[in-house]
Amino acid sequence: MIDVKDLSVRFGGKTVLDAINVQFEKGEFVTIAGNNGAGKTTFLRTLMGIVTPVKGEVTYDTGISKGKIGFMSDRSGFFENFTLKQGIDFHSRVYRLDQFDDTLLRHLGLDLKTKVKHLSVGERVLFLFSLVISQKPGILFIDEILHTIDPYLREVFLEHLLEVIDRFNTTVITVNHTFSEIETIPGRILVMEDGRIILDESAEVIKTKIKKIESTGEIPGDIPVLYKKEVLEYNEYYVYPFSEELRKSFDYQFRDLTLSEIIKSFIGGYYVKKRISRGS
Amino acid sequence: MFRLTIDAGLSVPVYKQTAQAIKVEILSGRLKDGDKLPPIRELAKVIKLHPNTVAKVYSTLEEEGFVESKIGSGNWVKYKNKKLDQLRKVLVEEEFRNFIDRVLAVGASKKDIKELMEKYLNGEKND
Repeated sequence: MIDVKDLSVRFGGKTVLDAINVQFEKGEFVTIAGNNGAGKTTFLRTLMGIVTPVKGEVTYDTGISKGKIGFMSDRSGFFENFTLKQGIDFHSRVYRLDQFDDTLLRHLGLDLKTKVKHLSVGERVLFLFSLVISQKPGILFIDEILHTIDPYLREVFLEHLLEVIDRFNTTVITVNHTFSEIETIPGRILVMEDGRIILDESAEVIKTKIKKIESTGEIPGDIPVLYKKEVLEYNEYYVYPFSEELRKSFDYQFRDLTLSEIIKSFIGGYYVKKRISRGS
Repeated sequence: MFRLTIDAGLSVPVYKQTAQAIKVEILSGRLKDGDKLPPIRELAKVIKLHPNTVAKVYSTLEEEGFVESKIGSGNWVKYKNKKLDQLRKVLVEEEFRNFIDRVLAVGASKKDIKELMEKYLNGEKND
């Protein structure tokens, strides 16, 4: 339903997105991870048409109108001097909404006469979310907002997000560093590095492909290591790609990892490569 | 509402873990034949899973013969006693194997295991 072909973006001669090819299906929940500067946010913004690519294209399913595409980011600075009521009216006109869903505002006890600039960070996110919910979104882009809000509001947000997904079969594409609460939600994980997608797997499959070994000595070279971390007297080796054959051939304990640990090892591997290539 | 815990650190797929947890609820008697299961949207919100994952949990349980899905009215616990006995046998053996692995890992001998088994099984009887 979203088809990305050969997408490249350059900012002032620097390649930020490098010939990306990927497809997203209706109803998928995709999480994009990667180091700072990998191009995640630019990728989201290009998908939405905010950033213009130098090459390639993004095609949406014909069934999806612009009004059904929601976007949430911690950078969305919008109508600071508006009251909530004015913000809602504005958003309703731009997106041609039939009606505003005020469930979340009532839940937070927010007064419509409050000015946007007087909301707390968490209240802003949920106000923005209630505007997005009112769009009955077919696609929802969420850029790094989970970590900005407190645990209670995070839960409120997640519960409403899951309800929206169920009601509108929404395709959700999120950019995330922190996973704790949503560990088990994404169905598909993308890892970006230097403007490219270096991993694109279902959450189920990636967990079978990466494992951790703890060892005091060096491990044999035929075990593929993505990232090695020194911890006190021993080393942690993040093995990728892992196959069950390795378990038979070597007498190590290959341990399962959480999604957060998997993402961290990919990013850790990136920084190690970077250090080596800089020769320090 | 019954309690389900999912271990995000395991490579066992989340839908399988959830289906397994519901089967344990059935075996323990907390969910009975004919009970209504929570609607997909509600369960998704409570255990923080994607609605598609919850739908997969219910369809897996239906295939395995523990749930009946009625169009328009939701999902219901439904099983044959024979099916339940089979499941109990599998789970008991699985738990037992795990237990043996753990005590062997901390250095128990076969003799230790036998003696302790006798002790605790008989102890329970005498209570």
